[in-house]
Amino acid sequence: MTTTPPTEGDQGLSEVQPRQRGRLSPWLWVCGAVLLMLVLNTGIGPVAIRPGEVIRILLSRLPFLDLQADWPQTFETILFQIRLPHTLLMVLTGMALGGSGAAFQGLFRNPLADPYIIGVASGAGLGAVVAIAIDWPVTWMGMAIVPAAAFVGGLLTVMIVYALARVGKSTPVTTLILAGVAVGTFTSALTSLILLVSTDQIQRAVVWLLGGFSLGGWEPVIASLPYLIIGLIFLMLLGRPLNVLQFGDEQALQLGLNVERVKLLLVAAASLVAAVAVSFSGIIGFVGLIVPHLIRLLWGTDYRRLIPLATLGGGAVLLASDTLARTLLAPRELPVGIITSLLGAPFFLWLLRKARVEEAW
Amino acid sequence: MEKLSFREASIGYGPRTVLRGISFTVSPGEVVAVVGPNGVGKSTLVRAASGVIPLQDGQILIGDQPLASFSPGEKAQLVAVVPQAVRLPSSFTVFSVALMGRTSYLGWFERESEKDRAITRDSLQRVGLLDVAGREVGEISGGEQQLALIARALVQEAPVILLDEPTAHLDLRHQDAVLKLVRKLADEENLAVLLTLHDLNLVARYCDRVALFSDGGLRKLGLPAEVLTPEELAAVYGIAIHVMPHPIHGTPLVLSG
Repeated sequence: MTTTPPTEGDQGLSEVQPRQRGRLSPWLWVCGAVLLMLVLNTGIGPVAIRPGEVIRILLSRLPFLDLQADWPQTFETILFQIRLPHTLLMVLTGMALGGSGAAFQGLFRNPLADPYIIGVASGAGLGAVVAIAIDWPVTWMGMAIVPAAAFVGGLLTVMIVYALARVGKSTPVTTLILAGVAVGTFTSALTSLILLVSTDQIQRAVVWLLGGFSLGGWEPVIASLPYLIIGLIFLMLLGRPLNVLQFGDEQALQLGLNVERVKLLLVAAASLVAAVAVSFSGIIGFVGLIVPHLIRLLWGTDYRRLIPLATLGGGAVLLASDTLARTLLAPRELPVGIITSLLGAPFFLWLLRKARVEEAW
Repeated sequence: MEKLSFREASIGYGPRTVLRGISFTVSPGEVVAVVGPNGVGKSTLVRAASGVIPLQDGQILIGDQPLASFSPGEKAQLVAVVPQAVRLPSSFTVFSVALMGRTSYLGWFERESEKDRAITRDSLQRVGLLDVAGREVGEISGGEQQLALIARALVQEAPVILLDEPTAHLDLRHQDAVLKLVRKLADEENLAVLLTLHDLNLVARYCDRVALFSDGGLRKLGLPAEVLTPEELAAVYGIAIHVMPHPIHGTPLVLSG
């Protein structure tokens, strides 16, 4: 039997990837959106810097580019010491939420799965509120205590949820989600209880929970970067096993995938990424839920593309939300979590009504 | 090529035993049908033979090695399963789905090679789906979805292939196409094929031997003409059943009532 193998390149690729919806490559769309929002987001604030100026100031820092500095020196200070760290933290947080949200949805084969459903976020919230309530110093031995406590809380919660969800040697999706909801509700209740009894710190904790907490400066960006890079790279490399898992645990096992181990690695990587995001930026709802859905509707369910696209898309969406949060009631700045929930919930309902959410699964 | 053998195998879930003391062998080049009433444990047998549920007692052997001694990846290279095409994740292409048969040959972080693609194209050609390789599985017919899952199983390059109700929900033309293909895999490629089927007339036409199950055990094993008798079938299904020679093929023709 002889088959004429199609020439490699375009044809080989088109067999694997579903037909393109829309003309531009999805990568162009999401990368363009991230870059656009980066420039817009860094420009806004009490001192407005026009997008063109932002770009030129940034370019002037590149070697071999001899740009004439025709902007006030204060612009550079503001840009590099205040705006840029904030913007980068936002884009990193959004990327973490988008990427981990896509991974959780694929892992649990549930369109509602996100860092909240399996308890990472509420566990991280509890960790942070405990740290605020017992009034630990903000830093200890060079570490930012509140984010560290949130990170520990998030990872502990996932481990508890995972242990509770195990039935014999396997971890069925339904028990995982039930355990996640139960443990998440429990930790949220504990969080509320601590907030009620420790009235002094309530303001600080509530602001943090709404996503407004920020240490400011480059510290959180640099502190979160290694964890996010490691976690996201793992998630992106595990796209092919995630695709196989879409056929259900039993078929994946029959295809030769070591389902339990690959799931454990996926849960660990996604939880790490989500916990880091929650640790440094507070609880920001809906980004991890909606961005992967949107990407899936636009460009299909292949996780080898979905994870990186949702990662970039999450970054763009959170930057857009943050831009709104800082301009709507300017000069007052709203916690970005309020914006993502206010816009995210109706958008999610609209997605549900379109019914293609079901179809895409 | 390896044979699939059940040796005094007891299979069940938790404390409950569904099938007790099963012993029979499927040889290379042979198609054996598992038949019996709903709930008798046909699908359970397939699951056990693919190694996804442990045995309560006895052994399942591939060649002369116990199935339980292999890792998930090794099992997938020995036994390929064609599940019922109930609901497939719709937005993967036919080619992507078939390519997943290579999972056991690849590390978690590894990409498919040109060899994996060539094997996939070859399998799609064998089941006749090369023309629709680039379509999404949600867009093709139920019969074609079943063929795509058979292609995925062929991509696993396993000597033993298990099919769970491969003709359920298919029209007559696709039933025929699927079973002719199964027959060809046994005849021309010397695969050992075990399948579950409800339609006894298809069993009679396409299968070498029949394993009739009832009441948690293997009741009778033999040629279709030996097993598909009015007495046996009436005893198992609990209704009056007539068997006559098929006017064209001469194989047993089973009619109820």
